[in-house]
Amino acid sequence: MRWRKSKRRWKRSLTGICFLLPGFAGTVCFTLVPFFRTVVRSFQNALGTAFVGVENYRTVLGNTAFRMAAGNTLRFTCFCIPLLIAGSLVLAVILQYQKQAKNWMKSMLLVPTAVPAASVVLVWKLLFHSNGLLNHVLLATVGTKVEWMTTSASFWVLVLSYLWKNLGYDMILWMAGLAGIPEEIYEAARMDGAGERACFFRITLPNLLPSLYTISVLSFLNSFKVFREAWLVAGDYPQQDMYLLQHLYNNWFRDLAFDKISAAAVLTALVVFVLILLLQWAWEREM
Amino acid sequence: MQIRRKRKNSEKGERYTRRKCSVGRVFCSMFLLLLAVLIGFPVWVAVTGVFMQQWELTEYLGPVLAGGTGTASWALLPHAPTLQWVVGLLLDSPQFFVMFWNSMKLAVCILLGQLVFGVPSAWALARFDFPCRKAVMLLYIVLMLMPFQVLMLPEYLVLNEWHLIDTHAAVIFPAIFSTFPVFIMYRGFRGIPEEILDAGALTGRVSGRFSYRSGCRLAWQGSSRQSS
Repeated sequence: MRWRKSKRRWKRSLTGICFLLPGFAGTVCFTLVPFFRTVVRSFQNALGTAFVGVENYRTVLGNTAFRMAAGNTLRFTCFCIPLLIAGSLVLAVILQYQKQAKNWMKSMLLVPTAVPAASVVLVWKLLFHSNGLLNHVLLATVGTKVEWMTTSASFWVLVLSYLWKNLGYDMILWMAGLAGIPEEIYEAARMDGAGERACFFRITLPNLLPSLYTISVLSFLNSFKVFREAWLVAGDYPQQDMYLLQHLYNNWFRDLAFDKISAAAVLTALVVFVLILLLQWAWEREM
Repeated sequence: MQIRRKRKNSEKGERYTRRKCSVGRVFCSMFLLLLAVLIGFPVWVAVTGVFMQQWELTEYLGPVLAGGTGTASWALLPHAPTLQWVVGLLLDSPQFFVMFWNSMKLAVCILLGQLVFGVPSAWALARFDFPCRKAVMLLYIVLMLMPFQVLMLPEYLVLNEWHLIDTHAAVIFPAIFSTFPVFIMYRGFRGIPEEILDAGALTGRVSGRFSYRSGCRLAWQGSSRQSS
């Protein structure tokens, strides 16, 4: 009987592997193999002809542009992602209790996600130019202009762009998570005399932890996509505080500095890998 | 201040509702309205700009785009609406339609490809247990988070070896095998209760066919959102 049970388990595993194989083969061809070639290239020179050991890593880590870009990217990520996650959670909770506003508000907040970056870039230029709409409003109310694109205020251009695009998307995901919490738990808690705050902190938040994992990963992914708007609005060499890692990769690619790109890419991949391992260790049971 | 009020149909098992203080409600509504206005403003600018005449656009956008003096401004509605731009685009610009149909072709092919290859992968990772499943999932997540420029050069070399450069396939194939839709659908499939599948097995449906049809329905949402 025991060998029959394990034979069934093996058959089930084999079915799973068969389902996975075509997609996995394609991913290996078009993503994994290129990534391994990047790793190999990071130990070679720019033309890929000679082996140079860790020279590229030393160059990249000592490069001021890389340090600035990495610092900016880290600052942007650490500031924006918690803000986005908390903000969209607050919105989702508020919206859950609205009856009339719920549906049209959901549609309204999803519109930025659907609008392509290239379409909205003209509006960003209109808003953030030194003669733009925001300065028009500021001049009328406060009386001073802010040079958005040429001073350190350019960081806020990135933040606004990122929040505008992703608030609705994350809010929808939070609402899906909130809808998945069974009503019976709330009923039982209220019968035991739990108030609103206790319900939120003791029931809602712990049940939202699986959603938090998904939303964190997706927000992190979307924080890389902010490069599109930044590049379309400000070009290859924007103001210092707006200069992200991807600007650097783009410029190095144009200058054919493949050795530096590969080394920087491997370093980025290592950081991302450690981050994901940490996330998974924290959410062990969900995986 | 909160007032607890039991709904009249409580024998149907409907939950208790709370009625928030009206000030809080008004505040929430106003906050939502303000947010809707702020979020919708860029889209509104783009839409109203379509129907504005040239002189109006120059007046509003001159300081920004044409080096004029003063600051840019915008009106809520066009003063003298016109359809000339829409007509010009839809009836007088063949190059727009070339680009449009190219984009449609790419989007449809990528979507179909992700359904064919991504859905079975996500289903296998979510519902089956085989050796190295967790390692494969970790790998998928790490690959998903790689910025494009990191893989730009090696992907170009792979596509060049397969003679796919300068074809639509060079855009379609890497996008079909992207790991992002697999991740999204994986989360969706993970949430399906085991009981539904047991019920399906009990009524005698073949595992593969049942999972593919219901899986496709669930995957549609995640996949179509991703390709926008």
